[in-house]
Amino acid sequence: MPDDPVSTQKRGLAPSTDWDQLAARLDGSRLSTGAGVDAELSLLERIQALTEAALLLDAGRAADARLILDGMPESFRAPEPAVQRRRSVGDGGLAVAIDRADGPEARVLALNRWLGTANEIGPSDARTLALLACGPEDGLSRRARAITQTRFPSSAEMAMGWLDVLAIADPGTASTAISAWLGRAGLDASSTDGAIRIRQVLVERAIALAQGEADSIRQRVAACQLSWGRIAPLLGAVPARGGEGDLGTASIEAIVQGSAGTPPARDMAALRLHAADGEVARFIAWQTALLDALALPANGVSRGERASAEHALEAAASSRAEAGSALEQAIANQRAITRAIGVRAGRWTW
Amino acid sequence: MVRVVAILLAMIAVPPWPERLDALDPARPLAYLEAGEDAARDGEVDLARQLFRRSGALAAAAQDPGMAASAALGMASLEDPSVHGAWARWHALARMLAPTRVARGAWVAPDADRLRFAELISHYRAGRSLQAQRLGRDAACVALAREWGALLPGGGEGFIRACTGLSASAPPQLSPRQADQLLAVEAALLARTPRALDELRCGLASSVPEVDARDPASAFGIDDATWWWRGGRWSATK
Repeated sequence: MPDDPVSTQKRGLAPSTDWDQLAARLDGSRLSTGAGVDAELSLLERIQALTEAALLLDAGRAADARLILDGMPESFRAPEPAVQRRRSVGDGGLAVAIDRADGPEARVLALNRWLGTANEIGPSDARTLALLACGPEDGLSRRARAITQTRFPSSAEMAMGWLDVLAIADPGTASTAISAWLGRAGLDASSTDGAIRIRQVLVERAIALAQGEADSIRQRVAACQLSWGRIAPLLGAVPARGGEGDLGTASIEAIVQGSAGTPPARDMAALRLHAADGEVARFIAWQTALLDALALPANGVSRGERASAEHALEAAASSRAEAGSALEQAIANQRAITRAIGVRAGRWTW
Repeated sequence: MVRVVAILLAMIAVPPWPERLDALDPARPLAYLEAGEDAARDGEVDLARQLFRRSGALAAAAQDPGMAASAALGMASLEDPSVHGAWARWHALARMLAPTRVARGAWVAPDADRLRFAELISHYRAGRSLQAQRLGRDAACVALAREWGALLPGGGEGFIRACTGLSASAPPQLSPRQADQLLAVEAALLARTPRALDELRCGLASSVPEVDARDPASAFGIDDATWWWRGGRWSATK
């Protein structure tokens, strides 16, 4: 007799089995309000973890599933907002100091004086410093280049300063200065192709530095990727790695291209993938295809179970249609996927 | 001269709307599609919708996904692309019906244009008003701002307005979130296509259009077989 998560809740009893615990967490999960993308990704990540636990239970690996369930906080809370980037006080002082200095030596002196007061660099000073570093070959540009490398090698503002100066600087000198700061030889901004490449490297560096380890969006996307990487083998599919920024769609593609699901479900998967026009849309389409395949397996489903599954699929489709964001759609899908696994394991009903 | 005469003859040859609608035959869904396109051109939006819907439903039933996709694109052409919803749904349906015949945003702006747009972002961020105003009026930059508008703070039009209206005495005060968003746009722009991370970082909230993959043609919403135009209305009988 399958456990019924609803009746467990009605009785108000503490979860008695791993499946009960999993069901209680799945039913209790909700979208936190007010924290935007962070909160939605956090919820997606956690429901993916529940899916993983469900698959482990299905495979009889209760101890591994319990590790996931025990390590999960009681409630699904919104994460803390990302740390606000610090702004330096007195930004803009470098340009003023250089303007006031009279003569080459005085300008180097002014730069050194400014450096003595600058613990961190603001966007305006970063642009000025980059501009000085990209100037004609003299003591000032050499000193500026040295400062960018020794004092601000890990500054996102410096990366953005280079980006902004690249639009007005001499491409040759800018390439030399920026290559030195990035520690990458061979960058050349003198052609369109080269300028795009050098910009690309700078933007990526700026994003990485600005977001740092505290970038919860990056971390949560990475967590979702990892989660799919772990889920794929549990579903009998070959895990595949996607590119950076991929939500794990390569893993899902491997699952969908596998043998799961009926021929109509695979046909629908192909149609959905045709309709998707971006990475996030493909993620939703793959999830939906996976849900179809799990809910309507080729064999072993009674007419009554099939009707219940189709009803559940319609409910999931309604949730997707009414969702306010792609991530809410992904969460609705993931929730249904987890339940489908529970149903297939004979532990839950639709 | 011959061409002008041919056009005039063609105009004369096209029968008036009532006759044209009376002549529609469900065995020829193309006629519904052509009539829909003409109605849309004449500003008869409701009539165009009715014709495109019937064309799409008939073409799908006749196993002609290409024409059904054309009907879906016809429906999309009657919607406002800047308003997420119907326009995106009809485009998704068209891609679903005939993926090889519907452009999937494969066109990528030339490198020089993308570089200019990236430079515009730099000029704007640095408060360089003259350069921002100049590039803000550049046709390629305006087109790219529109294309990438969903990721830009304030949307494509809003960003161009901010650039062309930038004052040297009032550089933009970007919040960390807006600065990050501009970086995400640059990353996506330079890489030629947005990645999931770029879209998520920009808080791209639009939901993915939901099209019923079990029965895509049901989106055309003609389930009463009212194919014939009789007595000024759609009828299920010939």
